[in-house]
Amino acid sequence: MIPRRTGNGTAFGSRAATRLLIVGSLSFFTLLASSLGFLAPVQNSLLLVLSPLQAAVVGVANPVDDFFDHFGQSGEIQTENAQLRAENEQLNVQLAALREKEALFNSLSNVLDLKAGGSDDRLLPASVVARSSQRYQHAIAIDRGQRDGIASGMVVLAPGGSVIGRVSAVLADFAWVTLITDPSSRIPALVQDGRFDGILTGRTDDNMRLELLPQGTTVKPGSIVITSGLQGQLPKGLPLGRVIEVSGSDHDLFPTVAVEPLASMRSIENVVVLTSFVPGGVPPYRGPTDTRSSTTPAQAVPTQAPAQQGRPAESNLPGTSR
Amino acid sequence: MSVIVGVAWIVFAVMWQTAGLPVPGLFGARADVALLIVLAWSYVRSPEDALVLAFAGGMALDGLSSHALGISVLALLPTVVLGTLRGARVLDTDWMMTMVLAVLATLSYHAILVALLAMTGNAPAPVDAFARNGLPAALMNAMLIPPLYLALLVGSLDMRIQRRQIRTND
Repeated sequence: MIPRRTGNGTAFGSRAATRLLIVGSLSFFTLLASSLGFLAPVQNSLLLVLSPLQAAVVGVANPVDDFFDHFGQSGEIQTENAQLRAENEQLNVQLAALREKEALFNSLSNVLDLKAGGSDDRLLPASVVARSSQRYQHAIAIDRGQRDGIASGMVVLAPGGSVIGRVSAVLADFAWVTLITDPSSRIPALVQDGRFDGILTGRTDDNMRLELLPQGTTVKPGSIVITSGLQGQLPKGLPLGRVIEVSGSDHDLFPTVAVEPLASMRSIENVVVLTSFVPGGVPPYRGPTDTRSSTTPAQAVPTQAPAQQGRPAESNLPGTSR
Repeated sequence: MSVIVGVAWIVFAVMWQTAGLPVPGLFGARADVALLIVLAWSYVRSPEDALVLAFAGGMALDGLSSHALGISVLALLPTVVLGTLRGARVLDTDWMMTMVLAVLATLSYHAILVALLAMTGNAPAPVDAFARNGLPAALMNAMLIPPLYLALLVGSLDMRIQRRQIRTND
């Protein structure tokens, strides 16, 4: 079809205007129906179709991307780097858990009659099937949904045990997880060195900022940031990220603290959902006498590639290193 | 180059972008690949085909996100209309006109996107959205549209010949 230019110099004729009206109305009513939740099955089907397509595009593009990313480096260095990153994440998680226990032990050592908390966390492994690295949304879709007992607000952890996000939308077979780097993310957090409370907010640049810290606080780069458990959104003591930069002068009301997530959000393939945590409730007490917390969620995550793995049943693991 | 090629192109671009694969960026803001394709298609080829592309690209963007379906399609619609201003000849050169239109299209896209996200309960901070995303993305898109426009122009040689024949017959 060859469009004709009209007299006023534009190519927007009455037929195009009619089509624009039709597409506009259709989109508006789709938006309305989707907002009211009537199109959840359509969204589920759309994700069913689009997620393998996206995986195929990533499969084709990744070698090219890696080539330019690591130009001049050997494959061994890349593999070693990935292993060291994973190991580093696990060590950071263990360190954070130990520090948390030390702090708890110090503060509660004279309250020995407190009831020790149970370590009955239930973890459900899941695979990442799609990513939404869009401008105003950082999210991933996982292959677990309503049928697997996933509910909105559940905490999602990386294989190493650090928090990567929370379930924000649940479909029949899938669930969307809003990452902690999402610009709308606000998590009550704590700097482990010094126990400073703040709010960890997501940014559009894949990193985070720790805001509303008390005046006069001194935060050091490298400090681990953990969940504070306030507001009952997340359990207390889960590792979130590491401080990478602290800036601002003495005259500033609050220092600017840049935080990077412990897990690599871009390359994550498997996650675990903490199904036993109820958002909004009182955070469970983790007693200093709990000695069974040596297992990380890594043990709940299958090591196969997402395409090859099955869907393992929910596991009831003894603790999550916190 | 048929509209089917355009749909395949825009869906591939959306998959690429949403997967977090590298796209050109400026000050942390990345180019809106889907918007650029719709604008170039509307500018070089036809707004009616560009509407199909906007619908396919928008639905793919929304399908790969947790927000409501239809938001991205609505945000892309003004881009189709802006693409038809080619004949207005406000500026001497086509490539400069495409750059101006890319800036306008990006700003309208972001304004509508943020407004609709706010209406559906996923509001990013408007000032942060514009300062950190809208403006850098507008500059980035303006820089990327001329090569895309040229590529599409070369790919649409058949259509331009047909268009010239129609004018001659008139």
